Amino acid sequence: MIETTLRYRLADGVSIRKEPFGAISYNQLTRQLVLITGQGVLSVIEAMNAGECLASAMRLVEGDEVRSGMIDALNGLLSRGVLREAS
Amino acid sequence: MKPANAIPRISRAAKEILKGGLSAPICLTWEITYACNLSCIHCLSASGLKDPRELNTTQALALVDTFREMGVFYINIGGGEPTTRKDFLEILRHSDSIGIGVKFSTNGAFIDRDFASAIKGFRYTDIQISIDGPDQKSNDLVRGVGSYEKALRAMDTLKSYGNRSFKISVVATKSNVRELDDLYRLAKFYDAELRVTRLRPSGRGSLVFGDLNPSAEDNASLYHWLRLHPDVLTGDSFFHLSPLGSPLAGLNICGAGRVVCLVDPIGDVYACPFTIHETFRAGNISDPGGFREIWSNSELFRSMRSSNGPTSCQSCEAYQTCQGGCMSTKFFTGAGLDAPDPDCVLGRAQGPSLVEQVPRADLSHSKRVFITTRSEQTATN
Ligand code: SF4
Ligand code: SF4
Repeated sequence: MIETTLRYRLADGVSIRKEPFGAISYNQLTRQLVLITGQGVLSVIEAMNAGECLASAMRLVEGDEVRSGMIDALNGLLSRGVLREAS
Repeated sequence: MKPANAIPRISRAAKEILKGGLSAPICLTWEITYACNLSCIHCLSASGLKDPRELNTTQALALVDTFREMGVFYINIGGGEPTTRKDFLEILRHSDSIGIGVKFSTNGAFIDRDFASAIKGFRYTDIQISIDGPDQKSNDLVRGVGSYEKALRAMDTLKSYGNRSFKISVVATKSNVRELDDLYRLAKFYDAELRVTRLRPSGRGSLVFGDLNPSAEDNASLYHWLRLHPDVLTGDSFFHLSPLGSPLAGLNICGAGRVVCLVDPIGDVYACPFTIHETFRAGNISDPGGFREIWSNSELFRSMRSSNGPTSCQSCEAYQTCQGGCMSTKFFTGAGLDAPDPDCVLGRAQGPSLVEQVPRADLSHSKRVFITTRSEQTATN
């Protein structure tokens, strides 16, 4: 499960890009393709890449329902190997 | 802002999103040359002779940069035989250095120690050695005399140089579909992955399709074999067989112009690797706006993204998994794009349309090839 106090980054070999429906990622090493619907996931990942922990990056997300959907989506990305904990 | 959701890639929702098209291809095939040392009888691009208009090194490297800027995840490089290009290593090196994956298909003839050691350090480069039978007799019938030995030598070289696992890539035909166990064993021997893809009637494949295309019985056996071997890759090419049971792994949609496309050696852009025909040509990378503009705004690709699929299949109970099958196979067999797949497993194929002439594949880059199959001999050119 994702921890808001931690920072996450894209796993090795993963590329991600924005799409009108949200974003899409591909893992060059496992060939896994993941579609992410809804906006904002990329911004949160980019904020963590810039050094913020998840809790801080989540300031970009407004609304309880949207925040909870974002956590679910990030959990999905963690379990599918798109994200990994940053050291 | 809508709630975010990471959705499984083969869900119905994901399919509908992908059918509507993406901002850039997931991957694209780039046939970088029509030149080839072999003359395989089923060559999808009817390769053999180099086209004098082939993209030069500067144009090729600039195209890789465009793919990277657009966020294309990886490129399938084919041909022709890509290693006949003197700048091939330079293209691979450049792609790897900017983080774009390359999977390249080769007959292996020019993979020697120098080549194997040069690519050893590339992070995102995959090699696919084409073999179409588990032994010399079976393979050389399709790929030409001496081709099996060359492919095996290439695999021995790659293995002895400790290259990252490569793939053995097989086109399933009537002649090898009962030899898949042997091909699987061959791949295991080399610690390679096996990739099996569908024969399409494009290029010289159009000349041999009648003889080499697996029968309905062969297809059923192939489907069950694939179900038993989930580690075998298929390039998403057998979704027309999915109504035989559970869907096979993959996106299970026709991705032409939606999530994939083809760039040919002179920079013409087509809907997919098996559609080299004027009907499916969306533009040339030298057109204003280049590849990006063609991908985003060409009339052809836009119409493919808004298509609801073949009308004859809309009411089929298997439509969600089969999607009406392969556009290229329908087109080059003259079935018409609104018809079921010619290999429809529910037996609803309609045969060539009586009103349309069967479209001819472009064979202008073929060397003179004598094609001997069971029932006829045909010469290209
Ligand atoms: S036309 Fe056939 S080979 Fe091309 S993308 Fe569609 S299903 Fe695949
Ligand atoms: S009728 Fe069309 S959708 Fe149904 S199984 Fe045949 S090809 Fe597939």
